[in-house]
Amino acid sequence: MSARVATVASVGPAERVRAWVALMKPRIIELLLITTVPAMVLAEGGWPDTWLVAATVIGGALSAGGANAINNVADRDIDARMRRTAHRPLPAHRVSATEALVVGAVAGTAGFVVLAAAVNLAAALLATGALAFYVLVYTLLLKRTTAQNIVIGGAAGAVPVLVGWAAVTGGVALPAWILFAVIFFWTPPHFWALSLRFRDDYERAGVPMLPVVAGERATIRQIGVYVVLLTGVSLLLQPVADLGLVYLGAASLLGAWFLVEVGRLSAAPGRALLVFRASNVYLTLLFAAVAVDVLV
Amino acid sequence: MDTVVLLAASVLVGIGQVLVIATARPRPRSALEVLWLVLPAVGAVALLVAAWLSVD
Repeated sequence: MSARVATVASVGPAERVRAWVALMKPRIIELLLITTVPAMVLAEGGWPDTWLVAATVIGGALSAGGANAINNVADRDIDARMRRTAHRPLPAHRVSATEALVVGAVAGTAGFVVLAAAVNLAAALLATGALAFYVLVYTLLLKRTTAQNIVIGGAAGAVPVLVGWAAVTGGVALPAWILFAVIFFWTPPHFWALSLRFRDDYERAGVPMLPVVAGERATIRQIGVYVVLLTGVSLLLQPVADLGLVYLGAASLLGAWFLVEVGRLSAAPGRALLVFRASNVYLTLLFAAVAVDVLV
Repeated sequence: MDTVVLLAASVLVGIGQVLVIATARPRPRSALEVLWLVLPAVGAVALLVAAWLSVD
């Protein structure tokens, strides 16, 4: 314990700030924000007030960052046993657990304050609710106990579109729930592709991700059926939000492409990381299509 | 066109959701695990119904 404290204490200020940023997993936050702004554009029916967009993005990023930092504390034992995550600030002893918890609490609180003060209370409550759900339901309740962990836990990552919608309208309507469902049903294929690639890591850490408990073939089959479901849900948005051919074409083609990528994964399971990256491209382009359809 | 898109979306959601439940592995062993499997399906059906009602 004393050796660990000494290691953390010897970290310089610049390194420490870098560690705080790393705790908040900025790449995941980036993905969340890719979805929030198009949701705001759709809710507004055009480009919303730029200050509102900035406040929503900053508040949302702080909330998501806070959730990620607290998640890092709860999962530090798992992270230390996995090659993919062993370099993270806590297992690498660049920050202490208490410090990481403070970073998470401060970021989460700041997110609530920014959203409540500069956006509205509905957006602030939704973002903070997502933080609580991510930490309490996904990280503490589901992650170590069921292979369905990422299915239900994925709801936390889907809330930012509700935050974006509420930021513009003060409430949540059916198109926002469809966007929520798109991210909800996108999350399992996304994370199962990643966990296929790092199956040994999860097995070593004792996390019951689907590839660990059900094997490679069953996981690929589940990824495929979720992509079918995801494509159907994404199509619902066109008639409900009165979108045009840009979105309809993008949703159809992206869904077909994603399914083809899963088919190629089935033939060559070594392609799991490519499917993971394809899932990122899918979500980015689908939400870009929402914004383009509205703005152009 | 709205009806055609809704119909296509409903077929895909229906097939996808049935397959998600039918091919789920490992099979649920407790009421809680059944709930985790059924809850998203209930949400998907509610979304479909709301979508049809909003367009008609």
